[in-house]
Amino acid sequence: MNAPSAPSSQSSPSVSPAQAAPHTAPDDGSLTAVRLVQVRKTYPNGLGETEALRSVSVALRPGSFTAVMGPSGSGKSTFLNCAAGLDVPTSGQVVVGDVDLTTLSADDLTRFRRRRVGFVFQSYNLVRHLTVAENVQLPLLLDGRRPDPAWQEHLLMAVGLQGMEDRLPGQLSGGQAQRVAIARALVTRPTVVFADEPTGALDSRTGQQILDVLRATARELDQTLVLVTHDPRVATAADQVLFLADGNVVGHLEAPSVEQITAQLVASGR
Amino acid sequence: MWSFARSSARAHRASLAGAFVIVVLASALLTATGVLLDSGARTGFGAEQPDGTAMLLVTVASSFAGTTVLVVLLMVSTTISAALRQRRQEFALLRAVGATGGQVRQMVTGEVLLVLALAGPVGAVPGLFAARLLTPLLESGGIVPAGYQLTLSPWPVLGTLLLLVPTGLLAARLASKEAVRTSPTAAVQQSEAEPSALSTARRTTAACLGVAGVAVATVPFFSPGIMGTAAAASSALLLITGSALAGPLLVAGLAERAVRASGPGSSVSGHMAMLNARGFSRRLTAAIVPLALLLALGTVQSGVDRTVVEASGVQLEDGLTADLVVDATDTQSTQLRGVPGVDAVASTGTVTADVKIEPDDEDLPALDALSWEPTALRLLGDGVTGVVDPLVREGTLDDLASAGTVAVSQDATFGTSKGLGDTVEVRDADGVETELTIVAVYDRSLGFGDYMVGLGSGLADGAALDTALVRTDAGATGDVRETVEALGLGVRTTGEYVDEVRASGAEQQQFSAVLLLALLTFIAMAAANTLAMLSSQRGGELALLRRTGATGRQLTTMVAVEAAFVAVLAWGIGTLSVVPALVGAGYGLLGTVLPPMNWPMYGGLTAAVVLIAVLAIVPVAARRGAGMARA
Repeated sequence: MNAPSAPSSQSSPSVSPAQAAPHTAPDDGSLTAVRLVQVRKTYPNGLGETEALRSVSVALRPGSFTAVMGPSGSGKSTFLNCAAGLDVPTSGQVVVGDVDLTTLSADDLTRFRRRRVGFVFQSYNLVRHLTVAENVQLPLLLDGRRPDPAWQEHLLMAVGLQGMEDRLPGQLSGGQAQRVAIARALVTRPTVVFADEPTGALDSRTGQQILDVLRATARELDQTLVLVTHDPRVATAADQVLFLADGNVVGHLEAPSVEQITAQLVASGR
Repeated sequence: MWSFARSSARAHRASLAGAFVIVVLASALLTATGVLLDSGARTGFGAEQPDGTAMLLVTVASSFAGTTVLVVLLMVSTTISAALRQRRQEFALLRAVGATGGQVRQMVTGEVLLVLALAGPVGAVPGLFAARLLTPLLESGGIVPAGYQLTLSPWPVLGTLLLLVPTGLLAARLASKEAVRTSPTAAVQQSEAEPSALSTARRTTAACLGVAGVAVATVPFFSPGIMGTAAAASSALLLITGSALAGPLLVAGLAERAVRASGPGSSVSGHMAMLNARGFSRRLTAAIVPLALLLALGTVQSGVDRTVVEASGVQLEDGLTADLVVDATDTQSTQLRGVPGVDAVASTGTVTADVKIEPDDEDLPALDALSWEPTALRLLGDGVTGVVDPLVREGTLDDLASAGTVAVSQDATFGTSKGLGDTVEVRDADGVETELTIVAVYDRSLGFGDYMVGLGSGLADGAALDTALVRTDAGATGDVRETVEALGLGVRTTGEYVDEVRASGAEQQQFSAVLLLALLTFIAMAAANTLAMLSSQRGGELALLRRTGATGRQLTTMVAVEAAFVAVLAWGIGTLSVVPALVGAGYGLLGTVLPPMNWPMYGGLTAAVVLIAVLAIVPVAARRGAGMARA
């Protein structure tokens, strides 16, 4: 567990930004799966800038399951994109395992990302003219590696899509497409898996199935899982929940209940 | 990656097919032009033709080639970037899934190269033979002698490929630029909408081109003549290119104004159409530019061609103070002097020879062969002064009686440092080279040609004199005419003669007209293809509107309004781009400020623009919008 800075991690739904000190890992050399050090991300907005993330520092233990929540505009997706190497922070460091992403060139970052990081997008992002199997294989293909049929079979079975290898994305339901996206994210056996509202557009039963797949595979492969979600019920499955608001981490709960999460959301949502 | 490339090609086969067809046509056009240039260059320096017809092929081909190459390459790059436009989201997605920028670029380049490698040769072969089909036209236009055979060699094909491949690759690079350069999330965001602002570089270049275009059109005001006119004509292309660069600003600006101006009572579809125009101004510009180019090129070229013929007639009319023109040999002309009522008779004829006015190139003597121009020189017999007035600026035509002399037009000396007293090299039909000294420089090159020689030059004897210019006493013209007719000689008034020359000049331009038509047809097809491609990419956008509540009829009307917007803007931009060029050309050739216009051509091109815009946009987009329920 991360060292809590608030007096009690089980209470204080009203942790203000000032009190939430950076969640840095103890400097005893213990490994962190993902670490953000004072990451700031701004976007140009007309003549000025929008600050999507304001100096966020977070450290996540290997094998942990973290949920990230917050109102819209809080910077959740930006946080995820920066942590996964999909976007480059304006300042600060992002360290995955023992590699500082901010020191990598664009191409090196891409290669690192496709080998060590799995990302499940909110909008599936499947290539429409490729079959399910080809979509799942895509990161391997881009890496120049041969697909492993046994592993592919295992993945498709794990997500419940066995037998659908030759379907096209246009023939799948939303839930099925999302499961293909998960299989694709897992095909390179990454060390960290990020998911941006993977159950957002799904009904609660399918959503639960998705969640189970993610957790089961994470446990099996000893992966770190970071999930952005709106749904407090999804968040209760996590080891810890981070709350973002206005680009800052405003709260942190460990193994919370639905009520605690909801209270925190209400407080930080304003 | 092969399977990916294959399925990608299959998924986008419609736009690939369109691009393929256009590249085939482009290749054919370029190769045909190459054949003309190649043949002309190989055999062109022959005034050694048996019937004396000058080989004008190289001259005609090179004047046509410049514009053709520019326009064809512009259309090819427009086509390829339109075809790749719809793939922007796919490229961004690949980046998000883990493709490096280099991998995306490789994929795009590979696809484009494949199309070029297939379409280039496929188009080049018919192009080679199509050029052969032009031979009858060349012969009837007097550009090549009868029985001429165009040479077929691999050089035109190689030249075509050398031009097409880099152009296509550049277009591919530009199309995948944002996916390659930016971070994946930025690429995904950018691919969903169009970037709104134009880069400073683009805006500056557009402004410079606009200024340059207008400036170049004023050249004839300072330096009249055919050179000034050529400069003015190029102003249209400059202005069109400037419009292409600044297009999105223009389109978005106009659309915004239309959006604000539309009140609550105005049509919903029209309002939506203007919103689309504002939001997708780059796509609309890509649709407008080819159509504007079609209108502009056709109007300028036909206008200038018509003006040249007109100006030749005017110059001839002004320069001949004779009243009658008679087909008469040298001896017959002498006879004519004795006819009562005849005031003066001057005999003229033509001599074909190769002329080189440029000084020898000391660095590259091999290039000397290219500076020989086959020309028809005007041969002046006795008694010419007073009857023929080419508006001499320096020197006098009387000196042409001396041996080894030539009179030269102002236009011919353009770009050389030659003037009065310098020499010009002439090579006659037997290959004998002589040097002639310039004794006069005159203005009216369109009416009288670029070179005039007298009998003293040694290029021809009295046998070459075939026309007598007769000045009659006041009021005696009718009588003299009857007398001459009674002598059995062909006679006409100067006015009739000028009309004949004008008519034959127009006929000579038939060849250029055919080439122009071929080029315009190509542009029209490329424009239609681009429009159809862009419209077919709108499926998702139209489906979204449908789901938000627009009826099928509203969508069709909206698309029709957009098509009308495209047509009107294309017409406006095309017309405005040619006004400076035509005004300049008109002044340079005719001295008038009212631009000369080939109104039938302009009307036809306007109709073509409207037709293409409507037919290429409305059915395609309407079908997309009507059929789709899911993006």
